[in-house]
Amino acid sequence: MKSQIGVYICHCGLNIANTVDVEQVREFARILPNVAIARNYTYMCSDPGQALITNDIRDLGLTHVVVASCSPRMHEPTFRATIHKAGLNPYVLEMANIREQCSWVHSDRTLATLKAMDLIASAVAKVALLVPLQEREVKVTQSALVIGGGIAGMTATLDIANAGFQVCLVEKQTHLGGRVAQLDTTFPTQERVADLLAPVLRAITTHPNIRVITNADVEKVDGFIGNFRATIRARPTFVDAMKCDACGKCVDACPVNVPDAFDANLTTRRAIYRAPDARFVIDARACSFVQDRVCRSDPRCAAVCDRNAIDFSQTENLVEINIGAIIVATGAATFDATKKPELGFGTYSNVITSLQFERLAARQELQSVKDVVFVSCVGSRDATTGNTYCSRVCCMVNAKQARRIQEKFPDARVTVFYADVRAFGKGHEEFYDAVRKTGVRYRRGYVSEIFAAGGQTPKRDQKLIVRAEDTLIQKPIEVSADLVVLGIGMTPRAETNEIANVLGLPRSGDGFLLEIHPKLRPVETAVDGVFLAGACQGPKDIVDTIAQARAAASSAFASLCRGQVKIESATARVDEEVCAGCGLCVATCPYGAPALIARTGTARVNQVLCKGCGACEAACPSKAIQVMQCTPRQVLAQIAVLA
Amino acid sequence: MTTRGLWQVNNNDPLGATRDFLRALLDQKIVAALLVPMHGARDAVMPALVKHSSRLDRADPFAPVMAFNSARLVAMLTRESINVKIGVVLRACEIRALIELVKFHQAKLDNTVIIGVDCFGTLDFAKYQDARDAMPDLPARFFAQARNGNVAGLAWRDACATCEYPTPAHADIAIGFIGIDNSQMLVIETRPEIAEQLDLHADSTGAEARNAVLANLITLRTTARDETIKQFHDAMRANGGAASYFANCLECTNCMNACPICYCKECFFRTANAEHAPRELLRSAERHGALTMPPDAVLFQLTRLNHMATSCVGCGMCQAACPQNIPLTALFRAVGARAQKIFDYAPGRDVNEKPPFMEFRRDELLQIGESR
Repeated sequence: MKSQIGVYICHCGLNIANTVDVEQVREFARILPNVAIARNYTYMCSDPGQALITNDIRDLGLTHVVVASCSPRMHEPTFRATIHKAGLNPYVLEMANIREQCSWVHSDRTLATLKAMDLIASAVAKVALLVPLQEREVKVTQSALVIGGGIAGMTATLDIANAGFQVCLVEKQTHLGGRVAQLDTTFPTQERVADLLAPVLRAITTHPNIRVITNADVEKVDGFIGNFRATIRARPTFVDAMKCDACGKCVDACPVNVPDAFDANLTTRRAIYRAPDARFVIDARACSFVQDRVCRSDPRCAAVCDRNAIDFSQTENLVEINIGAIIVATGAATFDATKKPELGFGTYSNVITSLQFERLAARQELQSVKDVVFVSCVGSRDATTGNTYCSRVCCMVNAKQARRIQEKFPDARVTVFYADVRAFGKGHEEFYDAVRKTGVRYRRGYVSEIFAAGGQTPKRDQKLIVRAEDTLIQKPIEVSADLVVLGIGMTPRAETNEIANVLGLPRSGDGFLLEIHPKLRPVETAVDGVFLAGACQGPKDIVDTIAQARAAASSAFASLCRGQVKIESATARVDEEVCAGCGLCVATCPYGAPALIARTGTARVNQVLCKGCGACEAACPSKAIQVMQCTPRQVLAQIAVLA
Repeated sequence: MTTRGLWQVNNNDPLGATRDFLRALLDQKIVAALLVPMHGARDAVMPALVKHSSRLDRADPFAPVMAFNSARLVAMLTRESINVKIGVVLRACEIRALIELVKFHQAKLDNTVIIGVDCFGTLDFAKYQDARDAMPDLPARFFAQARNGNVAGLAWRDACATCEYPTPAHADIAIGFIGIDNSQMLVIETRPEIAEQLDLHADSTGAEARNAVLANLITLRTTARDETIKQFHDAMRANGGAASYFANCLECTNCMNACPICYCKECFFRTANAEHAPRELLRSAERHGALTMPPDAVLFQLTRLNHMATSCVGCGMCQAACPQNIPLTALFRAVGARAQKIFDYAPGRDVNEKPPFMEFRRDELLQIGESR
């Protein structure tokens, strides 16, 4: 049957019509091979515009449709639905992008009109070769995996569980709570974090739909949206929580001292210790008995335990679960302030990080001070550290902590060195204003150096001089300080690569995990069914983190609720007669869809994993692998018109 | 661990000694079959698959002619697993091509015993015939010149005159005749267990002199290579680029057939996908005023360059096969050198090294505005 093509040219208001002579283009399109009708209209995506197309399909018996308008990313789904409504297969549509690729980027009306004609002729040449494809759906396992037990992960977990689905929450550490658990108060409301966290933790641990696996890593994820299979490696804590009565005798027996990471290395703890959730656990990496079966203490912890709760025979446990959706909420690390040696962190004990300040405040160990200096943007917006982004929380953390000092020690002189104060959240500007009114001095300028007052040899706890340039008065200044607090930024976690590799997720240039679109699809990833929540995607405060976690949860249970998901129809297929089995497609595919079959020595594509991106087809030297609707024949027909 | 030993040459006949050595490999059951170049009718020297040692009397791995890169044949012999050891007698460029084919899953090394041979250089078939006619003592003269590395008087193929690999790497057994008194002995380098089977004892006689000759040869040919690459770029700039370089290409695809690595079962340019409708050709001619025919010759060459530049081992078979004398060796060496440098890749260097197409490194290409 001869194909009957309809060509529909959109004005996009004046977006296209201003630069492209749409009437001339219509006359050109009308006489192209196999074109039965060509029309133009102000907004083809509007209801009347779509009606033009559906009516022509019915009245003229069109077999293929070309819409010349905006990017297919914008309206391809719209027009596929349009032609489907009129009885055509949704895949016999081709879009000619005469807006983004023509009218928006050109000013010469004559040349832009000629280019629009070329683009349409090219689309017409291709569309006649398009074949109908079947829409496909797969069943969904109605449960979810959440990776990371911080505030983002816990929030998402609760939302999904409350919607009636089973959730498995996996946390790397032995306790839930994440970064937020280390904090003293929030900004700008100055609520105690412990009070906020307690009900969330209680809800998580008592919810019938939630299974929590702590001290564990997600080691492997196979499958695809709706049908993932995850392997979780749970490490032992060597303490039987059912037997332990938290007497603490074991801790006294333990000979090992290691810095306590939960206290931001301000304090030390033993290899066996009371974790932040009050459970006793053994840090396997620190415990010499776990590592080498030797302990220099006698009696050892296991011997002093009255209840035989310590059990060194515990082993790692591999847990396999089937889930339909995954939320990644692995958080961020904090900037290592020793990378800015001029600021004296690690040299002077009275130079601390903002996280250490939180720990001191939470432990009620803030010492009386006279002169306090806060330094902002440490490890953020700083090309010398490689982190050019803003960490989004440090300005308000500085303000909150400055206020805390001012409230606790009213005689203290507090100075904040800042680059710009970014108080963009709800109530932030008001809070910042209030802090300044309490007498905290804000001085604009970068701190160049922090050094000991009087004397060359640095002593650990002496009066410090903070040297900076006040960029408002354009003069170098020096401020003395008993305590310097560095407002450290957030950085991607060192293990981000591992999780990105396990799930096949791309990362953005700053190293954080990458969403599909920063505005339109902020929680989705390149892998369908895998969503992002919290600081693993970029620095965030608690408010934004929770908002994103709830968005990720909604996105996850949107597919869980339906029980089915639609998968890409325009996928890659292999012609086994032509395939030489070289494996380039396997190496190139970002989704792991093709695999070499040993028996035939050729590649085969998992149709559910394939997104139809075409990377394999570009790589395949003989084009034995072809993506439906982008086959060489179709694409070359498109090019031939232009060549 | 490698044992270097000497294989005795009797009656000033290094070729006879080599045949004895190859017979020993078959007779000692170190290999069950041998792929080795053999003299045939009409001056032909072509590889044969030899099962019986009695048939090795015409074997000649050193004849200075290369009609075929045998890496393809090794691929043919090893695509499926077979449970016998096949000995494959290969020059360095053939071994490098074989390693590339292994990376693309076209060949396996599991059951191969690579018998690498020194290569002093080869001639195009026609030049080889001329040389045989002009010099009845060609074989003896060839061995004599190899003793001290004298390359004069022979019309080497461009690929060989610019080849920096006279000795084989990655060989299970290596046979050397350059830089030693090959009227008396050949150098054998192999694993101790094979050496033991062959009753070969460690002996470093002549090692120093051989190394000096090899070093000179490599310097000579590396210099020639760099000069060829420079001349190529100069000519490219002067003559107006790829279109002029391929001006007389017939798109016969001989180069593709001769290339040891071009592994597609069916070349895209030989399929219906690459056919043009008359209407398209006329439209293109109308657009440009004239259309060079055949229409896709340059596209074909550039596609081959795109597919092969990083893996090209510089064996020059493409040029040997070209009926139009297009200097393809210089092209592939020059473009290959640049492409391979970008990805820090050397074809045939290591079977575990992934071809650039199969690997993504974050820093391999620059972003706009970045500099190295």
